[in-house]
Amino acid sequence: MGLGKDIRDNWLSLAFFAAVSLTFLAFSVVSAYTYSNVVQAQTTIVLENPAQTATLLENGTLEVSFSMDLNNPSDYVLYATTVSWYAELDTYNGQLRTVIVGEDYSASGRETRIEADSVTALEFIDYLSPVEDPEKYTQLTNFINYTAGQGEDYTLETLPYRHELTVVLRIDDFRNDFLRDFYLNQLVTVELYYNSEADQ
Amino acid sequence: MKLDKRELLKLPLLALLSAPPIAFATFVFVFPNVSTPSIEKSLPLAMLVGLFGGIPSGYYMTRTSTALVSVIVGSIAGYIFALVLYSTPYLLYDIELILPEYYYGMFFRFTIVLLLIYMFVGFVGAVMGQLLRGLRGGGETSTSFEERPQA
Repeated sequence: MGLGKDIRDNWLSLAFFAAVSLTFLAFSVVSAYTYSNVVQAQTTIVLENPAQTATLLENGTLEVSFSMDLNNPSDYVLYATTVSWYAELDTYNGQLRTVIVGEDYSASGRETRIEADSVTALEFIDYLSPVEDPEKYTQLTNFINYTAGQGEDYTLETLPYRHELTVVLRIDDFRNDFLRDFYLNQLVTVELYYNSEADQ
Repeated sequence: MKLDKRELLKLPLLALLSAPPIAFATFVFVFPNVSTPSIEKSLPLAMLVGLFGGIPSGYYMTRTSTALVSVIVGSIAGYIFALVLYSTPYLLYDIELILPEYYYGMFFRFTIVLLLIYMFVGFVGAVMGQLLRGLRGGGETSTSFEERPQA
């Protein structure tokens, strides 16, 4: 009599519906857990410990270098699809001009794998030669002379170069090629940006 | 018309049974790339899940009206469960939700039509469930009618 009798009479079909329901419940929990971990990874993956140098070599070439640690504390492997670094200087010598003294760019063709729970050092180095880039070199020396008149005491090594680093990372192997639903691509993509001027 | 206590007990049980598939289908519709199993956004799949949610209601409920109410309750319960799944990163971890109005607005914009589909298709499922029960029981023929007292 009552509900118990109904359950006993229909136990096979009820067991089937309950099994299907529990399977979907398990799918839901796993999916939500994955989503939570991806969102958490978005917030915990950071660029840290920036270090920059500018050294004048014996042959007069300016060596500009920059390094930064990419800290990935998440459980996901990352793939760097775009890494770009620019070392620039805003010069003013009657007119404002931005001189790029160092650059490095790699697009998705050179994917870099970043292991889970790791810290990876991103290092960049570039050279500005007075022979190969006389125009840029002259702009820098003109700026040093111009600022000397303003009371500053810059050299090629102490000029306030601005370093900009942009890293675009793909989280694990989650699908990220949606043409219409861009938010799905963004969900599994981490974009990190560092600007040495903003950091000061 | 008096409601049977047994029917009232079945209603939340059946609603609970149909809620997880509806929640998962809704979640997949919003985040197909991080769901397990990873499947495409698919309206036919959502309709199939809605149909599945309605069949038990029709099959186990003796009254059509309570079966339909069970479908509505199950769809709403599943939808609320999907909303909880959607909120898990901000419930589990100490992550600040920037622009919550936009975040939840996006969920409702993507899925509110699904809720109506679950209900509508669930009604069809409930009718199918009743037909299945009829097939199993052989239908209400003259031999299966209860004896009525003579006037």
